[in-house]
Amino acid sequence: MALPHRIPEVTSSILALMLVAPSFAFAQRLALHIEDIAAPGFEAHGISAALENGRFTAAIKQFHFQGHDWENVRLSCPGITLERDAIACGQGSLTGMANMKPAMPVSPTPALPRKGEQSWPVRFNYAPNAKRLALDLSLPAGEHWHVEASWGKRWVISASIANGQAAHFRTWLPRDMPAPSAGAVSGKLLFSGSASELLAADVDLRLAGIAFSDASGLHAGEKINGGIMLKASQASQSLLWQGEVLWDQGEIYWDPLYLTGGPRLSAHGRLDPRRVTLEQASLHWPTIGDISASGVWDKSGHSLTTATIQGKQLEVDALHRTFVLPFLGKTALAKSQADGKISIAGRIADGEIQSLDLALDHASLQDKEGRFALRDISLALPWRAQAAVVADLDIGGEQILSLPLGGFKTAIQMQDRKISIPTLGIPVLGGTLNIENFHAATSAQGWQWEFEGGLTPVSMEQLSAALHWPKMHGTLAGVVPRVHFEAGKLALDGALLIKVFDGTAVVQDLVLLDALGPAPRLQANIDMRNLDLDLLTRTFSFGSMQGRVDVSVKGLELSNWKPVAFDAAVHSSPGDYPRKISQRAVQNISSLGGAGAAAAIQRSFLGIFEQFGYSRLGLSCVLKNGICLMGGIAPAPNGYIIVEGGGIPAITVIGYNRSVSWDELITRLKRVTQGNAKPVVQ
Amino acid sequence: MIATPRFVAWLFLVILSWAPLAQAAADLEINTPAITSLKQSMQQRYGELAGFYASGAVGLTQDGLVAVRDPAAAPLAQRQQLNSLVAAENQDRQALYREIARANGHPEWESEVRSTFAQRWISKAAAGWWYQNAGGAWTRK
Repeated sequence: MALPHRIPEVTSSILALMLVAPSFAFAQRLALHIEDIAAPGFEAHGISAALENGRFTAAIKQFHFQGHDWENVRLSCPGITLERDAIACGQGSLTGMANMKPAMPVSPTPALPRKGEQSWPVRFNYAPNAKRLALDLSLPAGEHWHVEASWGKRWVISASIANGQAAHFRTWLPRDMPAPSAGAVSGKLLFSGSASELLAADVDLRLAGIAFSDASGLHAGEKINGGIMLKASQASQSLLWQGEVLWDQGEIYWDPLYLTGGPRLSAHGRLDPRRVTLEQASLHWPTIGDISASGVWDKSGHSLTTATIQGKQLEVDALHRTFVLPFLGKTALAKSQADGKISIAGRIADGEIQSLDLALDHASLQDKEGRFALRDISLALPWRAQAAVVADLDIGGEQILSLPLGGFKTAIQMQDRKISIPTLGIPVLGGTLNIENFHAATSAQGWQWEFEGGLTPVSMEQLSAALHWPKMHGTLAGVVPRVHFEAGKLALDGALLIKVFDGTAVVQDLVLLDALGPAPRLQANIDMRNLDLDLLTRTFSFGSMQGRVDVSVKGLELSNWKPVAFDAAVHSSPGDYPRKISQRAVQNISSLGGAGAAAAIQRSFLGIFEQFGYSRLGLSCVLKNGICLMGGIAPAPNGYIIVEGGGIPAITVIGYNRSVSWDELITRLKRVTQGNAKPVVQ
Repeated sequence: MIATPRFVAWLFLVILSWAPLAQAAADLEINTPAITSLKQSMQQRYGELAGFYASGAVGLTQDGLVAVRDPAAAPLAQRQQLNSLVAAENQDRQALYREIARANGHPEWESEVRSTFAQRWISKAAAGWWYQNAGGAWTRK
């Protein structure tokens, strides 16, 4: 018998074999040959079956399924029993050879070479009238599969597996899915139903040493031990189910999450034609805590009709490390760590989130590189859709860079995705940073926020010590205009007024990009008036100077907090005030001009007088490409005047170097401000 | 494989980043705030990437970027780090080529800058590292 034509439907050809099978029972000689069978994802060529002198052989020359190929798959049974209601093979064998890479039935141990044929014992018993089939397959390494199937009005399929190699399942999975490559499955499973309807299920499987991966390596697991239990039974038009998944050991990388064994999930619910109901799911995650959830999935609308989630006193540290950090990428929080406890409760209805309750208890968030820290955070947030709510926030203390800030309490007003804080006072070193009219909202570009405020006087001694700056004197106070943040850019909408060194500083056009990121950039124009030179020079151990100066810094550009461009000038302030300069300050100013600079002074006076008078002073630097182009208050032969003498004894300082490397200038400044420079009298 | 990774990282970056670019006649030593911060960022990251270059998990592509060549060469626990390092490195490399071209006053030179860098990264790569040859095939140096 030969069927030379292609049969398009696999199911129809299998059915045809089943129908003719009972007639085999009385045949003493039989030969069957089918050229090919093809269906989407499945092809078999050269199918044959033969029975002669009690020896049965079935073979497939080439077999292709889900992108996997085999050659010469053969089932032989030398002593087949053929009776009216039983076809039995007590000592058969299954042989085959994988053609390509896949690891399936022909090669249960993928690590071994797959050259040549392999053969495994097989046993089956088929009762055509009783519609029952039992099959036993024994493979190396103690692997055994026992499968029983019966059909009729109700069908039942059961299997018991001992040491079943997970790699076999590669065959039945599409190639673009993560495929198992190692490990074993043992246990029992049973499914029964009627026609296409599942009526009951009972699965109890243990997994040992399972490994899987997709081709990209972005979804992979290794050394997974655990178990899967599922029971389902029919009750009033629904299938009631309950299941448990235990993941005892092993690791999984599911881009971008990395998870390790320990979690246990148990759930129960019902399945009916219109919806999937999760009555309750409980997830126990040893490092995080217990989370429960419920929900209803509408099968026709493909939507979540209702859902709830609840977790109490969850560990913030593990939650942050496992589920938050992997998504923070290059943000300012990329190297943060968190601690404390969080409780969460949320509800979804008609696909929309209706409520979210968050409570943080003694939590903290800090940057591993010390750029910021928030300590002792307590938050009670009762968010409701389309309703105005108030969240209470209490922070024990903060730190930005090395500046410590005090604790504060505030009420945060929230409506939908908008947040506002009418007023907030953060203690800073004896003063207070007042933030007013803070508003934040989400947009397509991410969060945007704005506020205005001010700073009540802060001791400069304390501030400079906290920021590891040279010791400064006086106080710092200021008025903060509207500060606006959008799309990673922080900008001032007006002038920032600061009182410092007994004068005023006005910062305008301030723009800060990537503030807490890897490469912060700042641009600003600064104008300072009437700074007290005595306070200023004391700060930098520069040598005493008396007088007042105006400082103008235009086009200031800092990259990673280091200046890369500006046009700066220091000039004596207009007005009447004492103007004195110490011998040491003279030397220091001279040395800033470089090796070529010198003080054009009446040398004889130097040895006698500690202080000199001057009428005006000024120094400018235009920084570009690492070079500072220097100038003074007026030109001098081959140079420029930095200090112009006045009174008795008078002194005039002339600079000769017009072009100085910025790095060199900073080195010199450090040298003179560290007080190591000794005045050299020539 | 690398005894003093910090030094080699520094040397590698200095040599490669600022090698003369004869073909495009662009000044690769040009410095802008953006280029400075990109250099620093890449220099800091090199220490973390070096092990992945050596193991073959990461290779140098023919278009001046880096790519995950063989994720299985990195333990599962390091794959998150591997992917984010590669993404961040490529972001910086693309920005670097763009900034150098722009700083030279010729934004249209970006592709020449990129291809010259690609050749330099590969020619200066350590033995054992993987790179894509002209045909796009992975080759071990």
